[in-house]
This record gives sequence, structure tokens and C-alpha cells, in this order.
Amino acid sequence: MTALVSHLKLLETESIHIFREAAAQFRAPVLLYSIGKDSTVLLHLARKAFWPGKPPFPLLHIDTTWKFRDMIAFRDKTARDFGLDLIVHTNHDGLARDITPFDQNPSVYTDIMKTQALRAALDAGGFDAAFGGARRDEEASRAKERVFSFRAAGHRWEPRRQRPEMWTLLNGRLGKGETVRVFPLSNWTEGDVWRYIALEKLDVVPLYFAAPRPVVSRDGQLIMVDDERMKLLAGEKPEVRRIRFRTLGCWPLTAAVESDASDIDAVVQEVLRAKNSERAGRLIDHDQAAAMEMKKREGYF
Amino acid sequence: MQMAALTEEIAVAPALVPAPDTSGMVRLLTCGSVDDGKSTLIGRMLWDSAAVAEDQRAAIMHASQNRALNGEKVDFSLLLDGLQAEREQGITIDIAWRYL
Repeated sequence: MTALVSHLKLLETESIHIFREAAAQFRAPVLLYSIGKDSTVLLHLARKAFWPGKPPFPLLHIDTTWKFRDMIAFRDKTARDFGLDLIVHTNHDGLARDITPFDQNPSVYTDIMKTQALRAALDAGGFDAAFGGARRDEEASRAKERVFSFRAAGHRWEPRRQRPEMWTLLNGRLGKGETVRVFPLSNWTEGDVWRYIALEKLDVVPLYFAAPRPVVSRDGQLIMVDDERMKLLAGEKPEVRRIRFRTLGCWPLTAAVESDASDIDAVVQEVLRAKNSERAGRLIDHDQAAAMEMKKREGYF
Repeated sequence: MQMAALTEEIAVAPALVPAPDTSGMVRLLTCGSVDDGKSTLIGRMLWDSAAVAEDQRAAIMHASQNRALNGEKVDFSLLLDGLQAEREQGITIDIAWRYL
């Protein structure tokens, strides 16, 4: 076995252990499936962990109605092909109030359409544990996360009230009102995720591969025009450029990068050479200092 | 302070080819009293090892304004101390995981 494969093997083994441990310790787990590359790896590991059975929990997608169309098609096909239960939750109250990424600032929009929607969906399903694909290498507050991240009543993250995790021991005992977020990909890096996708030949959303797509350049970020709801500013005109995405979220808030990486090997190469982190393209991370930590405290994952 | 690390080329092994030697893992331990600079030392080594993405470097340099000590321009401890409470108090409260 080569060194690289054994490195990924270790990560895979650790993640499968976490899945099985959580499934054994919690009453009603759910997998937060957000369709991107991390979710793809997360779902693949979940399926491996319980193979030949199906994962003993449903998938949950928080649909803001602003996801890329390719993502929704990929989500539905994945659930169908693998025969998985998929719960789709949208904050209809937010829709009725016309909360959009164009009209509100990103924090307000994310709070209402993502965080509040997630809390409501977890409460509605009575879930006590939610698997997420967050990785420690992504961002400063995620670098502090436990594998079992405890959330106080109301799903609030309190960084000072987390438990030590020695070796591979995971203590899942819940206090009253507590729930837990479980992060099987904690120790993976973006490069690991891509190399694993290449090695396991996993399908991912085509938006990760370069193709000519219509974009506008706004504040130095390339925003793809995914449908007719795009609100162009004065003087803006969509132009076709060869782009791909390093990370996928709501299309008005996710910046593309210009790239020629049109297949998996090229993407792996590009990721390993990249000088910027992937979250540089996430507009919701940059609207204020410690943006992610504040979102996590509100219940974001 | 020398900022040479900023423009350093990051050597990249071709994808899917293992690194030549992974047996040379370095374990690093820092001991010291409060405010001796344990996090700052580790942060400085991360910074110089070119393992920090450029947008993260820019964010750290921005956050370092008015807080770096001893005439330095960068507060390297910010690479480890990412929580608001840690930054406000200038201390490490919890471990941080970073990968090279």
C-alpha cells in the first residue's frame, strides 16, 4: 500500500468508527446532506459503515431555494440511486417574508434561511444527533471543534462547554435538552477529500469541474448567474467564462474561480497547488469578524 | 521582520503520488508560563512552513493590527487562537487542530 493510500485509509477507518459509534450511542441520528464534495464523501463513508445494510438514519437537506440547479438535480438522483430517505426542509416563513440573498445582508439571510431552518428541521424530526461534513481545516472556529460537538438547548454551540476526546473514545451522554453534531470528517483536509473522491471514483456535482458558464464580477468575486432571479447592478453584464467552484452553497453567495480543471485529476492538482483556502469563496464568512463562530453559536453547523 | 515566507513557492507533490518519506514526522511540544509565547512560537512555525493559505495570512495580518507585541507586524498566535474569547483575552482556551 502506498503512503498516500494508507493515509486515506486511516482517515476512512476513523470516520467509519465515528459513524458506528454515533449510531450506537444516539437514539435518532440524521445526516445533514448539503450536496457538496464533503457531503459526497460523508455519505459514501456512511454507506460503507453500515454496508450491506443502509445507513440507519435519513438524510436532511436544508433547501434555501437558492441552491444551484445542478445541486438539486444531483441531490434527488443520489437519494433515488441509493434508495435513501431524504428530508428536504425549507423555511417557508422566510420565503413568505421575501428573505433573499440579494435583499438582505448575508448574515441575516444565512440566519433565517439556513440556521433557523436547520434548528426547526432538527426539532421537527426529534433528532438528537446530526452528522455534518465540517472539517477542522476549513476555518478558525471549526479548527476548535470536537468530533462530538455538544449543543445546548436551542442548538447553541458553547465552545467552553465541550468535552475532552482522548484517543478514539467518544462520550455521547446527553444532558437535558442537549443535542450533538457529529463530524466524521474532522481530520480530513480539502486535499484529502478530493484525493479520496478520485480514488473511490465518486460522482460529484458537475459544477466542481471547469466549463464555460455565465458570470458577473462583483467586488472581485465571480458570481454565476444560475437563474432569472439574478439581480444585476447598474453596468453589470453577464459574460461567459471558464469557471468552476471549490465550494458549493447558495449561488448568489458562492464565488467561482477561473479554471481549466475539467476532470478529477486536474481538480486534485489544482487544489493541492491552491494558495487561497476554499472558504475564500464563501461570502458569508467575511461579512464580519468571527462570522463563522457567531453562526455556530446560533446553531449553524 | 523578514516576510519572505509570504512569497515562498509551495512545493507540491504530484497528485496521487505519495510523499517520498512520511516517516519523518516531527512532534513538537512547548512548555512555558502564561504569556511566554507558546502559541506564538507554534504559530510562527506554521507561518514559515508555508502551510497557511494566502487569504488566511491576509486575515491574520489584518487581525494583528494593534495587537502584535515586540515590534512584530504579525501576531502568530492568531493562527491557533481562533475563538473570539481567545482573541479578546489574548490567551489560548482550547486546542486547535491545524494540518500541514
